[in-house]
Amino acid sequence: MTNALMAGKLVVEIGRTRAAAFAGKQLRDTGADVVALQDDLRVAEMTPGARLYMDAGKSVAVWRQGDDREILEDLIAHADAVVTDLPAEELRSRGLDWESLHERFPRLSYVALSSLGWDTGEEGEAGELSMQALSGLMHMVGHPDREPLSLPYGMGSLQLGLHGAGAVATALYAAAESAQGRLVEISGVDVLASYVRIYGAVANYYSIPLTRDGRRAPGSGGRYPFGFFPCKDGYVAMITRSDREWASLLAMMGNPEWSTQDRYRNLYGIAMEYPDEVDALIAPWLQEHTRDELLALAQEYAVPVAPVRTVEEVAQDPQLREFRKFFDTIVTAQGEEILVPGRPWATPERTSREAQAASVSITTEGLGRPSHRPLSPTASLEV
Amino acid sequence: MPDTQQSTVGGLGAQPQVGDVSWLQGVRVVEVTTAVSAPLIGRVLGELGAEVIKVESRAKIDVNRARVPRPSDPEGFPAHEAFQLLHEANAGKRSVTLNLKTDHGRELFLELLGDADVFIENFVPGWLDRLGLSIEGLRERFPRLIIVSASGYGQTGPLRTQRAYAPVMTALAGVEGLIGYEDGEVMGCSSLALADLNCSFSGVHLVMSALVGRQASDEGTHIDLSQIEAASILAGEAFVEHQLSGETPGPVGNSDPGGGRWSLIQDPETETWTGARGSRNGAGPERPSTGKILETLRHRGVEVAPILTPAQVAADENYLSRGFIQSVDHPLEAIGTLQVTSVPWRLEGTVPEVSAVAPCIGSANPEVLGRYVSEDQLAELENEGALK
Repeated sequence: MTNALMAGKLVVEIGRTRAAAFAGKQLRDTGADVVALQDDLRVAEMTPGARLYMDAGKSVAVWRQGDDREILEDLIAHADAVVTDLPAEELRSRGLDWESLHERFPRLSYVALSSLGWDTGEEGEAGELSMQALSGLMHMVGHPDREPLSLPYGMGSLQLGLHGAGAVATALYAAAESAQGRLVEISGVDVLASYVRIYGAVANYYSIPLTRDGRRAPGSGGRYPFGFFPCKDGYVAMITRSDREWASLLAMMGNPEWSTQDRYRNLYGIAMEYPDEVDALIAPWLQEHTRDELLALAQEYAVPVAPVRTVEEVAQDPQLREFRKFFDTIVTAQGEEILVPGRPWATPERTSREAQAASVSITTEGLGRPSHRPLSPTASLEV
Repeated sequence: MPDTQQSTVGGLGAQPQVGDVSWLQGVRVVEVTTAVSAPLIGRVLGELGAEVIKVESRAKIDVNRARVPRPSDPEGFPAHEAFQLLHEANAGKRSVTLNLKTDHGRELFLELLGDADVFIENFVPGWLDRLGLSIEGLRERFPRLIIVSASGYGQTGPLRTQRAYAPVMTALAGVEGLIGYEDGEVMGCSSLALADLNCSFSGVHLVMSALVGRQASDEGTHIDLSQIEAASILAGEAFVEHQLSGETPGPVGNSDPGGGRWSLIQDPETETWTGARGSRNGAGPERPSTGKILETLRHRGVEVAPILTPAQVAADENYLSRGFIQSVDHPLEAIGTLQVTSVPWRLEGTVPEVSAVAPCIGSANPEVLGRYVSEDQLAELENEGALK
């Protein structure tokens, strides 16, 4: 099997947010042909950077009011699946809802993505803010004395899109087994709430209050340390989950004298009762070291410590760049090459990222206008 | 496969039902996994109808079976079966124990793989080689098998054996440094385990894509999934932004992905927070009540949402009515009833039922291993240490 796991599958992305766009990107990266319908609202909702990144390798078709019949007859009629994040009411009024499409194309699978779901209605605007706020996520992020924080770059929508891609693949598998198109519906608030529940499982077990605690996970997950710590030139993530790892961390710090006291070997006690005290003991040593120095030491001592990196630094990471051939190159219409994260997975058949880069290169007529390429010579819509 | 249920798309107000989903009936998954990221892949596949067999070792147990004891635990409390995260990641599976360092343990393991469609593993890269079970060898022997290796750094490169937990991976991926306040203060999101969950659902997508591919080609494959790389794609837009603007993206506070600000408004009485899209002026002496302000914003079509706590989510009627959290009894009385989160998909109107909690270690040895050896042989294997 090649890298194109989904070769031969045609997916139509009917979306306006990063959710459907990211689902489409994932499906494209696994080899499906993806056609994204783009109307003015999609252009307004997604930044040029978002479209440049998420639409690479897709066919992007301009979609105008009045095109729906052509979309149905010339595109969806040939598709294996639709993934959409449009409001249910609009889909229904345009004949693009599951019932209408399933009746007409019984083998077509359909994945509907929504911020809040359907059973609560769609009163008022609901998007990234509502997903992150109503899932409990924002309550868990940020400094305890400051306002709750959200995840940037629409990461809630991206997670919804990731689930959407998995659901499309699942529906296509089941459809092939049953010769019937399948339906999956996913709401972003459920996705994010299920993520919050994972740490909640730790917190509930140890009776840790679930609230934001700055750079530290609440209660350090029942075992100190667990969080981000300031060092000489930024922050490092530092987590140990076993006595052995804690011993290795202490060895990495030169086994300071304080560490021989029983008080500092009770990792549960530190986590629950006096993490600030131990933070203060560790802080001076961390302040003497840069992030890179700490990473080198962490590798030497096999301790889970690593720098909080900028995207610029990530792009220069030798592990990712040279050994994993992780990055792809997108070429703009102006000939500018942009290095972006590629597929996060490899198969034995993958040759190299350089080779793959060529296959995902796109040209744009300008950042606001992704390229258009024809779907078929007979299509009457502007594509 | 069940008949299509009443769709809720276009049926506003409709409630999903909780029930069995058998979309993956007939698919068999074998996993050798620990922690959350890879085990959750198997759990999702199981709730979609696959049979999932978790192969465990009593010598090196899943980290979620090895927890720091709680002071309140009574003597003899089965802590290795009780940790809630174990159940979130492994509910509904079957557990067998095999000592893969023994010849007979490996033979049984290969029998299991011979009947499997999918094999998921997430131990430190190289562990299979040390057992004489290289990925290449397994692929040659089982050409239809889909193998997923999930690891922090991937299966290749000098860092491949480095230990990593979720926040370490998102830190290296460039994600944590983007999370913080508008004034540049980095906060990160250490308690979200984003790298783990992101890996889990990337894994689900890849397994299902490979199964779709196998329907056409009849060939399996090996997927080398890196958690750091999977996390990095969440920052893809920041990579583009950096290269187009020349500025290094940093924390942006609460805002739309397109840059529009959000306002976070705190009710002075309840100290609860509400978020609203758009910038709002600070409180003045004659300002209306917070509730009135929010009502006005909603009326004007502004997106407004209360910042719920996880406890409020867990108690919220909307979540409960759609089966978001399900109660499941543990077979050990000392543990009692557990609350397990559902897979957040509704498949033709049905939210997958959490059929059982995580299995007790080795509890399916007679049933699953009994497919390959007799009861007497199983007892003999137990005595010789092949099932440890």
